[in-house]
Amino acid sequence: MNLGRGPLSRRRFLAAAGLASALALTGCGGGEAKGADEKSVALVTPQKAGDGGPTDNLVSGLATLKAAGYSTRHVAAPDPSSHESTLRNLAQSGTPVIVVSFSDFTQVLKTVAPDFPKTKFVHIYSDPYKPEMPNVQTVSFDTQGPSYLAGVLAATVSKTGVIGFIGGTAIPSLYADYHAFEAGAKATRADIVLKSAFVGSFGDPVKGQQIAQTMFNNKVDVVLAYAGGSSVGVVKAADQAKTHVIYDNVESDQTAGSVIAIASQHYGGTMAKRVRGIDDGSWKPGGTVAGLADDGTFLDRAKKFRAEAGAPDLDSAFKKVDETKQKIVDGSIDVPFDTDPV
Amino acid sequence: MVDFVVTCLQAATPIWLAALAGMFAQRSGILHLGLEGLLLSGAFVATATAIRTGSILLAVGAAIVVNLLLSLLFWVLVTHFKANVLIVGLGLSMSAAGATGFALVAFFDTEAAIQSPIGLPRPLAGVGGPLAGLSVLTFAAFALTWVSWWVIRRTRAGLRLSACGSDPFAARSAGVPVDLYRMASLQVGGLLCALAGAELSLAQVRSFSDNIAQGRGYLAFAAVLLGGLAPIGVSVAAVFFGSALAFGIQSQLDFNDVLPPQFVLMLPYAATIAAISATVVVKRRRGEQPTLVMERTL
Repeated sequence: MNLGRGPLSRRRFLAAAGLASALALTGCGGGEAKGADEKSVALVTPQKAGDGGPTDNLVSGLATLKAAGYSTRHVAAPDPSSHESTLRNLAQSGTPVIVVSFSDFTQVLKTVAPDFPKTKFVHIYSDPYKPEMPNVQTVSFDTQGPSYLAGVLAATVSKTGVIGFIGGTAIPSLYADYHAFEAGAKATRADIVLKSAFVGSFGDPVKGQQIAQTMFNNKVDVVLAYAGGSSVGVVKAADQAKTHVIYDNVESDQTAGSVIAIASQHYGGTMAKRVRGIDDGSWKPGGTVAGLADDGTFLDRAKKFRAEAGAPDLDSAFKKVDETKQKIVDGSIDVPFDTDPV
Repeated sequence: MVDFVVTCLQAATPIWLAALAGMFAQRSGILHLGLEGLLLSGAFVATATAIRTGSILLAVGAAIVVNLLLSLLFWVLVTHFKANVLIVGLGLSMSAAGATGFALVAFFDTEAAIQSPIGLPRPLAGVGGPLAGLSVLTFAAFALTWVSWWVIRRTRAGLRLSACGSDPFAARSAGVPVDLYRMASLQVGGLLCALAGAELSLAQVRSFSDNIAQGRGYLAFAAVLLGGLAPIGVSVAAVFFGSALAFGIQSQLDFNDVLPPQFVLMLPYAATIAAISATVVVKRRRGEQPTLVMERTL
């Protein structure tokens, strides 16, 4: 088509463009496609797979669902401006279950979900919506449980009696984790001393290393690192200082020298359980919490930890951790939820 | 106390080397807002090459080569295409942030940190104690500061370089090839930023993650202004910023009950603004002229 010559060509082009726009708008009218695959699920994440963290974990949950006979699809939508169109396109194409992750999608989902009442949405890592929406389930994670257990573990294995907490940014949820960590440590050893610091970013391993190094210079010998990408630096400092870390990322050969435990969330497993709940009838809209009881959150012994001379006795420490976990699950220990600043 | 000094130097070294790079550029008349980008490219290339080759020399060498090419591009855009120097600098920084993130996925198929099995040598590792943690580039920063001072204060080339920035019209009239001096200063800057990037990624953490520079290149730019374009002044300013970062860390541990963490995290940046503002006020009271004359094309 020659667009540059004469008014007739331009008019034709504009008419064609107008027609195309009208058709596109008709397509965006909000109708849900008929005859969709009933055992189909789409996962939409704000990051691509390959982060070695939450996104990979969610994608592994998708693989679990695929093995269980679901038709699965993963869409990475790093550009926030594409979030609404991505969700609408998936819903219009008849995807019966759409899982989104993290707070990036909160406003968009509140806009899109009412237009697709037959589609069920699961929002992983989100606070409950107010008001509740009939086709949206949110899943938040009780990270205070593993934080309390980390306190028990750190206080048990510490030789100096000084333990540390390194958070990514100073936000209420991390304050709550710190207070749970402190409660677990003090319940185990009343005279334990705690030091805490925040990196100011979840992506600054260099500063994470400097904070940890400063802590280790101040007699700290076990640290709970809840700093995402910055935790890599904490591990490096611990390797240098021959101290120990309770880590919030995936363990690897590089963490084998210092990481004694992993405190994190099973995003993928939790997502798979919630999606299966739609078929077995246990799904309900509104806010839900995943925690120690349903394996949504965990404190696990690091499988790759290389115990060297002078290493702590992790067998007896984890025996204590397991006993404490059982008490938290059966309600005999009440883990505090305190979002006051540290 | 020695521990604290070591942390100050470790925090300062990447800013210090990048600030020396910015000083050379600014002395030649180019406001270098691309320091952040060159830090990132240096850090990525050094880490990636260290992982692939297992050689620290090749890692640092590759980072230098890439940064020299990027600095050449910067120079071509600014001098031959008459592009706005601020926009090109910012563009370099933003492009490097995106490109290194893309390269992580393209070359290593991950968005997480990549980890190097080797790191920069530590000359005092055998001595033990806190000083053992300092990398060779921290000691190099002292030497490079002296070399920079000597070149700028004691050589004809240094005098001409300064003339390119302080009065390019007069420099041209005297037959100084201003554009060539600017290219040379940007090349030196590229080299120093490659070292800064290698220090950032291979000195302590031995890893690269997306946007690992976290604004240190902009702190280096501020150190150039605070140091008044003098090698020793710029170095002192960079160490001051490193010390502010280290003090922020130490005070989180010692004064947690008194100061909220958000306030402590803000301290290094507040110190930057306060120090630069104070410098401007002092210069105005002394009636000093600005050290840089911007040409219309730049």
